Amino acid sequence: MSRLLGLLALLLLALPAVAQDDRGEQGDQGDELALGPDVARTVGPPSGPPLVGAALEARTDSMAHVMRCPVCQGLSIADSPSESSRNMKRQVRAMIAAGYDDDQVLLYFETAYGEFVRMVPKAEGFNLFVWIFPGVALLGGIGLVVGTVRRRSNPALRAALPASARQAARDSDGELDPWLQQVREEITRGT
Amino acid sequence: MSDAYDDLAPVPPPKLSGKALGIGLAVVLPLLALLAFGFGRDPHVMDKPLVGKEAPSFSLPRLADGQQVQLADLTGKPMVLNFWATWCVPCAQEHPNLVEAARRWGNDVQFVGIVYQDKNEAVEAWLDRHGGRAYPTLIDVNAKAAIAYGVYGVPETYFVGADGVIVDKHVGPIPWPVLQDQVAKLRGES
Repeated sequence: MSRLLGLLALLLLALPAVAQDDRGEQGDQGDELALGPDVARTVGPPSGPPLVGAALEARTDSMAHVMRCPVCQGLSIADSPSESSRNMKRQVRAMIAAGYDDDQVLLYFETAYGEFVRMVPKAEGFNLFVWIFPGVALLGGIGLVVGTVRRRSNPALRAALPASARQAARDSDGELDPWLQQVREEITRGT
Repeated sequence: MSDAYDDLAPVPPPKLSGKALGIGLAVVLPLLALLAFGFGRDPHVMDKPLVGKEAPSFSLPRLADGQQVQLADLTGKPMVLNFWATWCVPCAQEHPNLVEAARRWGNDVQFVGIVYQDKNEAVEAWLDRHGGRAYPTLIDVNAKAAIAYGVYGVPETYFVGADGVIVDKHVGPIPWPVLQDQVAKLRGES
């Protein structure tokens, strides 16, 4: 029963994709690898060899994962079932088949859609903040933890700690706490 | 005994040192600025990287007779390129505006409809129903022109000067005052 329900759910999920498949005037088979307008004018001549077969599909798939679907919420065109993504992927495949490299493919789409089309923003300008800040924050945090631990474990540096930290260090260190020392002596004496 | 307890005198609450405050602010303020920057932007506003650049060329079949029409065939006067589809509800809202604008200013400005992700027969039926063959309709096979123009979704309307440079782009159904204003700019009236 549950398997039947699962199958039904899968069928329902697949329906929109089936419906979308029917949308759009498609070209004939020869158009599959036809380049879009102005490719050479925008990105210059192909800088690599033309690709076919498995190599073409592998490169297309890898490029499709780094390009954002324009009508989705944070999906790449590889992951999106939308007709827009399929059309974009078709154009990516056509460019790679003609010998255009990854940068040229990205540049063509970026010229039309802006940097939005990149799933991974370029590490330049304001974007550098996004790339650098997490690393700086992590290093700063590690430095803070290491520095605090070293100061607490080094008596010479302990004086530099604030009063509350000194108290906490004393509480955790029986050898230096005279009150704790006294309690231990009393316990040993059995009084 | 009392000496030992003296050491346990209540510790005053820690004072916030200037250094700690400085470090905290140095970390928190850039994050707040980043959040303000991010939330201050309308996520629905898309980039218009092609504005100010030459309109991408295209060669698309005309719905009426299947003849290939190239951008170069249409240049010479300003253009209004409208990407639309029959399955797009806002396209039906804006269509009367475009038809009326083409009727008024069609001699000075070339209006072109580019059909996006649609079927020819559906387009014919839609145009019959909405009474609009005021300007040529081209079929964007495999959405190649839409990709070259950076179309996110329909409707989108591009305003192209007589020199072939994209002057502006409108995303969504175009209201009459906006269309009027854009066409006036194309005709050099404002």
